[in-house]
Amino acid sequence: MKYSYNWLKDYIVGAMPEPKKLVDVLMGRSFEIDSLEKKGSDWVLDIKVLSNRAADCLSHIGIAREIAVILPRKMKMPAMVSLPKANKKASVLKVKIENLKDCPRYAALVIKGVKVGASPQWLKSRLEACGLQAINNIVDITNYVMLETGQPLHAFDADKIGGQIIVRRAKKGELIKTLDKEKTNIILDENVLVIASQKEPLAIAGIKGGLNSGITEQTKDIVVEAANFSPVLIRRASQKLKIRTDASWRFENGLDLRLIDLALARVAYLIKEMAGGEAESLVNVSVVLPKAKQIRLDFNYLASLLGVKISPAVAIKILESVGCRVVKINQQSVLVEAPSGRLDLKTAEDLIEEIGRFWGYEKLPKIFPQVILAAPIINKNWARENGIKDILAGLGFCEAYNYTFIGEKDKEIFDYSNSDLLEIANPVSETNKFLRPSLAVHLLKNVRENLKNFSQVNLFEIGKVFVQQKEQLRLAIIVAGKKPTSDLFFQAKGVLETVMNGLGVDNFSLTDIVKPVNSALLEKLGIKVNVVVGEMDLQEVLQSANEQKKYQPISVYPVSLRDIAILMPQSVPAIEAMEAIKTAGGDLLVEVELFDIYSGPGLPAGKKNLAFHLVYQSPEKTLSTEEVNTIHQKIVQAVEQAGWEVRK
Amino acid sequence: MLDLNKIKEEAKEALDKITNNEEAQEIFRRYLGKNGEVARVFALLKEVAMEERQTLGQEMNELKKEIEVLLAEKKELFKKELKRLETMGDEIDLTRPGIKPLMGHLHPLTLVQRQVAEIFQSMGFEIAQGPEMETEWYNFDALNMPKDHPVREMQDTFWLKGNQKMLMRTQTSAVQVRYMEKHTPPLRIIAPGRIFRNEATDATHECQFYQVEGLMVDQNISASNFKAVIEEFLERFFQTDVEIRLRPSFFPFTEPSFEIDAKRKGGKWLELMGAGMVNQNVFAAAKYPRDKYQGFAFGVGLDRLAMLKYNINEIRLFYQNDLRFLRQF
Repeated sequence: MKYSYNWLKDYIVGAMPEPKKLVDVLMGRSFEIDSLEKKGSDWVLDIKVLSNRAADCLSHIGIAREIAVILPRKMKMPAMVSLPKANKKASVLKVKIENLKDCPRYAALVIKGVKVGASPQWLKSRLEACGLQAINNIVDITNYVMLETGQPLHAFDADKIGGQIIVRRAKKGELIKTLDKEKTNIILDENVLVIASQKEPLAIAGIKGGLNSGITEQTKDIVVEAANFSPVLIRRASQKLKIRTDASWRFENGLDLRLIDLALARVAYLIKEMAGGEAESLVNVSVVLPKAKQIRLDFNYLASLLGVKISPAVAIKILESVGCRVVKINQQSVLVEAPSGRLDLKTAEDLIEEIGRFWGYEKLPKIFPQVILAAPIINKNWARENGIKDILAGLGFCEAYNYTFIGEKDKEIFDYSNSDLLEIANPVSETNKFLRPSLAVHLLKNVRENLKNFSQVNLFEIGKVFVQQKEQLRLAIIVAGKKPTSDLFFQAKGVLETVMNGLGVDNFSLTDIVKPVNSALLEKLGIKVNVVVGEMDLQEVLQSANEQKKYQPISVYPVSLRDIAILMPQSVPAIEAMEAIKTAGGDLLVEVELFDIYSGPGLPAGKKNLAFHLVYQSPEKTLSTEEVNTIHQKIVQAVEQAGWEVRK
Repeated sequence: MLDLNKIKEEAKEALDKITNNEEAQEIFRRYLGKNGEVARVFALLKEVAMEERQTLGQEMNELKKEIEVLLAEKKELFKKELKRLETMGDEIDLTRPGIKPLMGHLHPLTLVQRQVAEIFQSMGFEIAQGPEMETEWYNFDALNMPKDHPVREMQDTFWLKGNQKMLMRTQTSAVQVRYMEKHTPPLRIIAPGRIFRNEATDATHECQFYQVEGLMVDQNISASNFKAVIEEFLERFFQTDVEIRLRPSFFPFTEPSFEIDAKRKGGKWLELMGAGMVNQNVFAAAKYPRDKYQGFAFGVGLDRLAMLKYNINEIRLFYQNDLRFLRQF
């Protein structure tokens, strides 16, 4: 909220710090200041009052109270009149509240004989400094008192409300035109509270006044409303109707039920001074006002939570300066009553915060905690994830961080259906409509952009994707370049194999994980090189990773080498031949290397030739030629049994 | 007839003139080959008187050996010369840059997360993690942010369609109660991770960020402890003296709450993080008894730390993955 420096000065007895100094003072003890601006002979401070202090500090008096405590200074309150005694019977106006839970208090002050006109310049300037437009003296005064005390007020033309005010829920489909939008009918329903006459809604309670009951130049008698509404109700209505006002924000955060008295006494004074009206009668419908909250503060707890000893005398002085009343005190603790306006003071910690900030956080010592010396438990997932990142960076891959969201356009290009995707209910931007179901979506776009500057792009990303209503941790690598797709494929697959190796994960199949990106998709994306992507669920892999290394003695005996060439159908994957060889070869076959795959001229159609280097070695002795031949023969037999041909 | 000396002189003379291996080969053939001079002379030996044969034979063997040695010397010389010639004019220019193997780079946010984690781990903090898609309970209710309360407005939230209770977490604080439910104090953790705010992105606004949450709970953890730990962290992170200041703030899950500003040697005050003493309502949400434990919690924006550390001026660079950017780290 914006605050006028000159206005704040009204309530401080004695000198106030210069505006710039005041900013520092408030920043250190109370609130963050977003800006300080000179406006004519005044300065405007934009103070960020957070919701815990909305009840008392969205007001000049509230901020002045903070200043008074900090400096310290005495405060002076503005001029007021004493209100007529509330009397339901004597008043010309009747007030009925349907449900006191929706509206715990409603006070209506009838003022007769006002003269509506322009406000004096000083008042206009103050309103404008705070970002409000001057309208007429009556409306301006109600706004002024809201900015001064924090209590939203509303003025009705008494002649237009027909002698009775009813606070009730709107009926479904009921309409109202508000003061600022003369041409728009707002459609209400039973979740919205209204102030109504017997005939029609006069105002949306706590949010906006209605057009028909508003103050005009002809208005003579007025009813000033000062009420307290259910914060939740106002908040829901404000969100539903998408109407946000200075009043609604204050009600949403909750207000002191007693603030009404101060605000009405002040508004009556100003109207009398500036518009000539006389407060005639007051109607006040209210729940029983709650007693002041009592809070116990243990001095040991104060010292323990802040980590510094502040003497009880100093602590109590601070509490009293913010308006707390000491009820009881002893060696260990003090019992205080919080001031009624301070809705935020409920617990001992709340009191400790008051003591701490006014005493001065800058004086807090730095004390290292005394703890049991224990090494932290290593988060294995975190460590392994980082291990993967190191391997991939070492292999020439740069790490990408992409958005968790994808947009409608991505959905189209990648041909996702609605059932594939988790959708955001309330996106503010077109690009944030869905959660990414795959890391590849953005990585491919990264490739496209990077190809403008580089001929080859290798990227990887580790991140969360969202599939089948669930969150999943994934790893994806992408290789793109002018090389043939098969080269890129084997590069990508080899890289992931190295990663698995580095993690100590055995027997992990990368089949169906590493795939060339089809040319139709590449075309849609505008990518003119070949691209291969490997994307996998990482959670499982992280779980099965194994950092334990065990040394295997190196055999001192020589190796025997044999080659084998197998002619087999194109359709059979190479892995099957490898598996067959390994199974037949047993422990003495220590290495199988596929070094060539050929198909084409010289071979029957539909066949391919796989050539392997086989390495035989025993950890115990030198293998004789006969021994090697025996195993090799077994392999040959196994291959032939599988229906393939061993080429001689 | 058998002028061995002449042969020797001729051979020496010829050997002197040769300049390469081919010529050396030629000399070999001429003198030591099957039909060479030495062989020819040997053949003549049988025509010499018996008494002279022995001496002559000896002399001839010496001659043969002599030529062999000379030839070998020459060959060795040619080998050296050849090597010299091969590298001549091609000596390494030591000032030339090396051939760089392709090296990948880690994202600056990974680097910063690691640095933060390393510092806190050295102080005994454990790393905890939680989901990015979070329940309303852990993100809000458990953190003393009730439904329909304006405190929720402090964070624009992405809600999931079709499931009213699910959202994209707006703060890593969501990890606090998740962790506390499974652990009893004393505990100290950090929880780095991605968080989301429902805002349109531009140069200053992002819809996703990285945060690291810190939480330390025991029976007597104080604000002064927090001040010491966080200053230690910042000094190690920025590797310079850092001055910090605590300002009052408000977070529903801490009481008292602080805003932490830091100033590096010779620098300006920078707003770095929110923090505070854990609200008893949060302990209650984690099913801890009330008023038994106390602790501090804080949340630092990692994007901001990275921007400060690496002098990055635009937050969007983090998510564009331009290799010209990534390769600088």
